[in-house]
Amino acid sequence: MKCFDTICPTNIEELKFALSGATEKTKILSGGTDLVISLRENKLKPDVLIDISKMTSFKKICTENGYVYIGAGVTFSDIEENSIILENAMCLAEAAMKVGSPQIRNRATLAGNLANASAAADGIPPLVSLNAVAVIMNHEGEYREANVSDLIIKPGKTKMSYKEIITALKFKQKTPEQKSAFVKMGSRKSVTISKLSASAVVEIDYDNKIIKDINIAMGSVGEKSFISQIATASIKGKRIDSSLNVIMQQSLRDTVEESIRGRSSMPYKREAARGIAEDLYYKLFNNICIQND
Amino acid sequence: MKITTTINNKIYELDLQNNLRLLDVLRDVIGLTGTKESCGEGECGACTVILNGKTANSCLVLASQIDGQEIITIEGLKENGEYDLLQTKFIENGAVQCGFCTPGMILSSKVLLMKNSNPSEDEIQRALEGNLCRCTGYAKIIAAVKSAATSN
Amino acid sequence: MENNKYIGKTYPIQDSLLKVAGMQKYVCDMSMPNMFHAKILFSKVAHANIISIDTSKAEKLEGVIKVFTHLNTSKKLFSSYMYFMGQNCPVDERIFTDKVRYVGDRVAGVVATSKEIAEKAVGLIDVEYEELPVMTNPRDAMDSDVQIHEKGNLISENEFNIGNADKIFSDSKIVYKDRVHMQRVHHAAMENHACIAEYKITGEFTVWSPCQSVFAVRNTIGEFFDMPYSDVRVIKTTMGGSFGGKQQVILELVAACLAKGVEGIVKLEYSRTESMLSTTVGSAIDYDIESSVSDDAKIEAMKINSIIDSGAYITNAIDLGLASGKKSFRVYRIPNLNYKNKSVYTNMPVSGGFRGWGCPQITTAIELHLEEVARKLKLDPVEFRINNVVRPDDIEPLTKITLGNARIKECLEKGAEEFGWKEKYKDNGKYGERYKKGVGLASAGHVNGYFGKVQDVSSMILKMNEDGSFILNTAVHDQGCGTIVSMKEIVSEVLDISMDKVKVLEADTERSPYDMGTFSSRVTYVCGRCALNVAKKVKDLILERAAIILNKRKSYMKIENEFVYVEGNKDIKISFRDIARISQVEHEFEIIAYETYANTSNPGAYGAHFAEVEVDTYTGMVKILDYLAVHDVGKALNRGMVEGQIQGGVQMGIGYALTEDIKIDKNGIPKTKNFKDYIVINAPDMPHVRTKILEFGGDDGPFEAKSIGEVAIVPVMAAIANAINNALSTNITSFPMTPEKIIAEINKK
Repeated sequence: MKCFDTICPTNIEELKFALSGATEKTKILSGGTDLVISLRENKLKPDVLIDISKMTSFKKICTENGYVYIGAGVTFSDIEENSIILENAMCLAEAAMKVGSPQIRNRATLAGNLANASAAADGIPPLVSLNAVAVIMNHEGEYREANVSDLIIKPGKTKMSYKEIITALKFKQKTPEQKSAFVKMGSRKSVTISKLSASAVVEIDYDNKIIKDINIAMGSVGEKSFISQIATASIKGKRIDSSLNVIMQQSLRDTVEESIRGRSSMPYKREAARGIAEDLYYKLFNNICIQND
Repeated sequence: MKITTTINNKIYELDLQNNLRLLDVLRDVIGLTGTKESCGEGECGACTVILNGKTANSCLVLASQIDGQEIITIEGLKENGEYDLLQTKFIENGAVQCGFCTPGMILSSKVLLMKNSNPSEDEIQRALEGNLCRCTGYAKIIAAVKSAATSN
Repeated sequence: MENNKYIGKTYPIQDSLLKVAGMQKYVCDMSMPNMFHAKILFSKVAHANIISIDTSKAEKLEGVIKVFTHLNTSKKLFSSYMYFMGQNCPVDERIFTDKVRYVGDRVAGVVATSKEIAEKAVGLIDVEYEELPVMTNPRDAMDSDVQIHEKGNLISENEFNIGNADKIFSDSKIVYKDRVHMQRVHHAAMENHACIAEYKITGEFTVWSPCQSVFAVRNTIGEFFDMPYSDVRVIKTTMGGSFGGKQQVILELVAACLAKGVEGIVKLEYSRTESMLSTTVGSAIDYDIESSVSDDAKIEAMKINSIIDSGAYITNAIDLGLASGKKSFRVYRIPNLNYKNKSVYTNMPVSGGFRGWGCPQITTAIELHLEEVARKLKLDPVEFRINNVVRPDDIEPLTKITLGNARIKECLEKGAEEFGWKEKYKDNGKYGERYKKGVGLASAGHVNGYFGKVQDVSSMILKMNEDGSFILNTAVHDQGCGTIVSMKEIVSEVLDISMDKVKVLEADTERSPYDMGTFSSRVTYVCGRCALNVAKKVKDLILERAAIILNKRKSYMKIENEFVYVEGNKDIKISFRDIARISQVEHEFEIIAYETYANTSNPGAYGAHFAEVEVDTYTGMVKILDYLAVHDVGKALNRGMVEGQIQGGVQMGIGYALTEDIKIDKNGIPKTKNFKDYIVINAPDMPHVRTKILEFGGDDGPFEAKSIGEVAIVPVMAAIANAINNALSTNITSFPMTPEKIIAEINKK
């Protein structure tokens, strides 16, 4: 590991100062669970690390004006146990539980997961399905907001300048009609890199048992997480009965086939998508499903 | 860089190279070699320590991140001259073979029992999911954790 | 033998307190004054001539002591597999190579004052390569003009025949055929490879290493430098697991060479990636297997044709081809067998020792094949096996040695009953549309030592201290599975003395009597028997001394609880302590005995495993619902440790069956470099493993005990694979059985 300088800002002013000196080589250190590996492998040779672990203001999860805010220093352990998240974004809580091991979840942050923009990141599909927005600050203290799905260009690359930092993630609080879930598949039951994942946010007309709207964000299918338009088109407006299970399976199968056609991993992922779809179906609709005769 | 950190209830003021990992600080600077390195990328848990009451892979924590923090390593589990119940139960249950994963296993179990005094088998397995053992097949490790929980 | 005081009970490993306290010192924890650190530059290309190496930048770095390459180190070739003197071992390895033959080959070494500097210096070495075509497949390599070594890529061809398989096949109506692929696997001992070597200016070496044979290390270094073995001291350090990975002399000779080059102490530590790719791997072997079965469901003949991917160097590949074949006869009566093997060079990681030494591979091939034969003949797999297994006192046809009290039949019968085989087998494939259940089983037979192959000797010295405690001086190597405890138990049982008064020393070439090493499932069976014999000798000496002191005939004397009594009169007695003291002070006689035990038998170690799985036909994920492992261990010396060995073997086998694979692409570039991609089984994926230990005894081991550590993994892969195939009515024969392969097979149907 090459040597570098480390700056440890403790408040926004110090952070702005640190960012103003940042160069293309500067890296932000949050949980460190990915960064330290890259440093060890000499894949990254930063001049300066901005260690934000002392930014206490970044460690909060709160609600404000109908939005849930998750600070940049919030770890997956914080998320999986947090009542605001459990109430508002079950998909995110479930994804958090599926990230790495306890040791990783205790250190790794959601914002870091997004900033790294791995195709297999478990934290990203929930954010995409929630239409989440990243709150980004630059070295002058100016803020901008960017849709999570727009922010990622490709694995490891985002539309952020090196003088910017994600300070928080935000998404709308859940309405009573909404429900969400996350499903993932890897090589093992746990501590596994996702081979395929999906996060669904659904809006249900409970009286008529009809799906008003649905967002299914896919993970590990292609370079970045995306909302399956095929799924939305084929599921929206459908009644919640067991035929829905078949429709969901077919739509995710088609989504995978279409998105990564020609890749060697496609034939497997296409079939596995059925399993992911069925698991999502049971998580979302098991207690509200209309029994067909 | 200069940092102050508490390791096993002892305060250390250290002047460290920025690129040292907590693992290197413990093993090479302080001389606490109970924390082991096996994969160096957070997959095996041999380097697990307790950092502010939670487990962490010390191979993925940089020196700057331990400034002002509290760390407990396997050497710090002994209190008032007595071994932690988990340490005793690991011995009694035959949960130790080659022993290289043992410090990490015990510390992950410790944090589990601090949060949950009566964990189910599933909860124990999940708490240990980030600690690999190649010798035991985990059965006796899980039995040891259970037995530490019930005799507490 | 049921009145044992120590044998058969459960004990923790001898150093468990040190280990739970974090105080046990492995070689990575050891440090010495003026110790240097070494780092190796490994090849990043799979096959190339080295045109030039520029080490000047590395040499200029402050803290670098010396840089080593093929230009300034010996050209002498060696074999890392040599483990006894006079062994016929072709040599093809060099300390640093001038031609790289796989990604991970040693190109250069740096000795520096710190790990960091050594690592940095390695990054400053520039190597210019002339790249050569890469051979990644032994079938291609065999016929290719691209030569990895000078004499071509076919290393060896073995063939042996029992009976006349060809004739049977030409007469038989149906021949059953299968092709089984066993993949390249990593031992994944949690402790990486490391050692420390010291060279003194007087021309002496001391090496500290977690190895499986100090004498193998010593001989290899002694031969390489052409120096007296007495000047090479090798000390075995606490071992954080090996599973065969630390069996060969991989780091020690290199470290010794570096230490000599700097005339000092050098610590050489490998990272996980280096341990995975640049030491040895469990061999990838392909099998073509055919059989002919009679109308009464007896195996009439078999043909087994195997190809071992030896990787870039030979190491054990020639012997492995034969050893693997010989293991065909451990379980089944095969009256006619034609076995062929080829070992082939490729530009892949080097094949070497691995738990079971060829037995996991050939057993998996045979057990998958027999399962398929049973399915085609609509025979119950358990009954078909029982109909064909060896029986006590069967003679192994190739070596003409008895298999001893071979109780595989009983393992199968008792296992089937306890597992509920009949009921579960009926229900196969049922469950639902998405999830399918299936059951599978496999038998396993392994060895107990080397007898029938090479010499099999162990020597020990047991002495009584003046206070009545004992020291057993051995050259055993505890790998973390309780060897030391077993030896203590044996001595304590014979001498009726508390185990904490018996100290067992581990291997140190300078201080220990000779032992072959911790290989071939020989430690309990052979070394344990040596301990038993030497303890009996000391017992005799103690009785003799007591007889003199008490002025009674020796035959009247009896040992109990650290006293010698006169049989029938407990008033006439003397303590061990007094005997030892009087013996030394008054008789000027040391109570010490020496034993060289040469093993003269090699019975089978047997087990039968049963698995029930659930396969997700959408995702291909396999969940193990139930697992039963039955083993006849002759006699369990340390019951808890026997269970631990079985549970650990099953865990390793599940990974071998389902997830573990060192993947290398067509250019020879590894895709699997660490535990992120090399998936071993962690706690949540580990099923509850039921163990059933049978104790039929009847063979030569101490208290009739037999081996367990290796045989425990042997049947696992086949049991699981058979269960998967049973669930899906498929015949998948390529390992690991990943979700991708399972889904592809389902889609084919």
